[in-house]
Amino acid sequence: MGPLFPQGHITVCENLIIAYLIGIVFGAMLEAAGFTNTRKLVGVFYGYDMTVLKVFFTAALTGAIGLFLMHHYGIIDLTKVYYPKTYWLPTLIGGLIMALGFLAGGFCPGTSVCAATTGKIDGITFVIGVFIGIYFYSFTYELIFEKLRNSTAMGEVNVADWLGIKQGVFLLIMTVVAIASFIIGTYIQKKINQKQSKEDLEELGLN
Amino acid sequence: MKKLDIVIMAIMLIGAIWAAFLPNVKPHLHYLSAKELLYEINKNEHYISVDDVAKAIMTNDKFTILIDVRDPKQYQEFTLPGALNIPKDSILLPKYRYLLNSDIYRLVLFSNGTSLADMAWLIATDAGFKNLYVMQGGLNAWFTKILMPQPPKPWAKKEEFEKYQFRKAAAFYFTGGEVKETKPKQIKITVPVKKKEVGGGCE
Amino acid sequence: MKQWKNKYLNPYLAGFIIGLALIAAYYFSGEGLGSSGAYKRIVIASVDAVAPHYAEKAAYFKPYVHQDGGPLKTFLVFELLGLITGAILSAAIFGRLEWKIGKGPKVKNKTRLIAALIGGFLWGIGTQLGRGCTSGLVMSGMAVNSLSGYIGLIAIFGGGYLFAYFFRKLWL
Repeated sequence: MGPLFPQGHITVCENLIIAYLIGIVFGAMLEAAGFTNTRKLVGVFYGYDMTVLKVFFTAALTGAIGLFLMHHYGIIDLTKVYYPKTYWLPTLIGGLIMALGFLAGGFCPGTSVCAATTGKIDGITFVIGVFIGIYFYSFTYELIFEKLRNSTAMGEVNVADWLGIKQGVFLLIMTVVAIASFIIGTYIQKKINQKQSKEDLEELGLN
Repeated sequence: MKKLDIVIMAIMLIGAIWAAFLPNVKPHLHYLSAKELLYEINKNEHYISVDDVAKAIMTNDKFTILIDVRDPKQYQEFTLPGALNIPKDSILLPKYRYLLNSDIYRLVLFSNGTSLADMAWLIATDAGFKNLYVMQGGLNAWFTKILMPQPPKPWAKKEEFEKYQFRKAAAFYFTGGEVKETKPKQIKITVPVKKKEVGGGCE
Repeated sequence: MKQWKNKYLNPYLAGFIIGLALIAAYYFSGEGLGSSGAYKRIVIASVDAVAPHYAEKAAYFKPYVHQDGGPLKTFLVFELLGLITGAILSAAIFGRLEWKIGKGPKVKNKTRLIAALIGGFLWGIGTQLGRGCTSGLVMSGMAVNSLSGYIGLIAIFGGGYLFAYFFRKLWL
């Protein structure tokens, strides 16, 4: 029964090799979906390319539904996996900062690495920027950020429990919301791109 | 929409509907076997003296948490400074699980005597919680030894005199010379949650 | 391969496969996918190599420096290596392995690169404060129904829509 590594069913080395293999799949899919192209990434916020929406929600919900079902049928024990702790304020503020970073930089840390290593110079610059940001944060941590980052701890909080609804029902609601957003998003994208030039759509692979 | 798109969305939807009928994922308590429990009891290492508790309070020990396991009415009337109230019958409630599931804190249970705290200790230890201690003698011992310490007999050992000096200081600390009512403070403890053996995430 | 340069994989299929990878990560390693965590450990390892005494004491670095095998011997770092490998493989197949600067149509190269640098800097700060990035905080968080993941989702995507207007010159 999973998870294998925390229960000692696989060794540290095996775990790292598996990490590498899973990373290959992740990286290949990100590149294949077009996320080394910064214009495709940012398109979700302007309506002309909703690929991010489709990939992201499909991935997150496939994972969530799959894990939930697997737990029920004894394939994995979800009480033994790493569960993130919720610190709502620093996460909220951090998220807003990341949003600004997304709009300015056109990437997120994972996609930027994919872009950087496939020749995109803006990706390389972005990656350098991330490192500078983390170095800056780490050296000013005790002075500026420590208090905020450790504030508003809520422990491990399951969003469905927190809302007071069954976890499976929550997943169903999110799936319906996601599918609705796919349909609406596709429609908006079509409408906005009616006035776009053919070459532009070629470049984004949207025609 | 292409056919593949619809197929994938359908798979997600069916999976989600299926999930909606299934029960929640719950963190479970890890119950000890009778043998394991007996072993824990016989270790007899879970008692802590009132002197140690006094010391922890006076030195502002951030890693010791005092838990009053009596009912709320008794807790309101008097309790140890900084103590939280978890009545023995509520000790297995999910809302206290974070607090009790600690790797870093030393959790000291106390009651009027020792038996109620011992019961609470048994229940919680059986459910798999660790780092739990019982203040030996309870609040009765607290009163007689700390708040109103008796001087040792003249022929007593040196350690008895040292202990007496400590208790006199403690008595003064806790009563400030007069009998002060220790009101239970509404302490909001941000408990860092139990460190899981599984590391991970982008923390 | 030239004619595949602008052909992309069906987004739902790509998402579905990433979802399977996410499940595999939890199944085998007990943790989800992530990116910023690997960056963080590279930073920590570098500071530890250059100034170990500082790293031992400073609050940011302390919890990671005395780890078994060093801060780099973790799932996330090896996943990052795989990420690079996978991206190069896919780009090679599709014919997208080329030097290029991606940018909006009305923007000069220099502007784009400066903006990318600033954007990266913001992500550096944001991921450390928020405890993750889109994959680690949000996607992996949503996979276990964690509230933190959903707060991240609303903050990043909501924030993106909120601020998009002010950055439109860069992209439209």
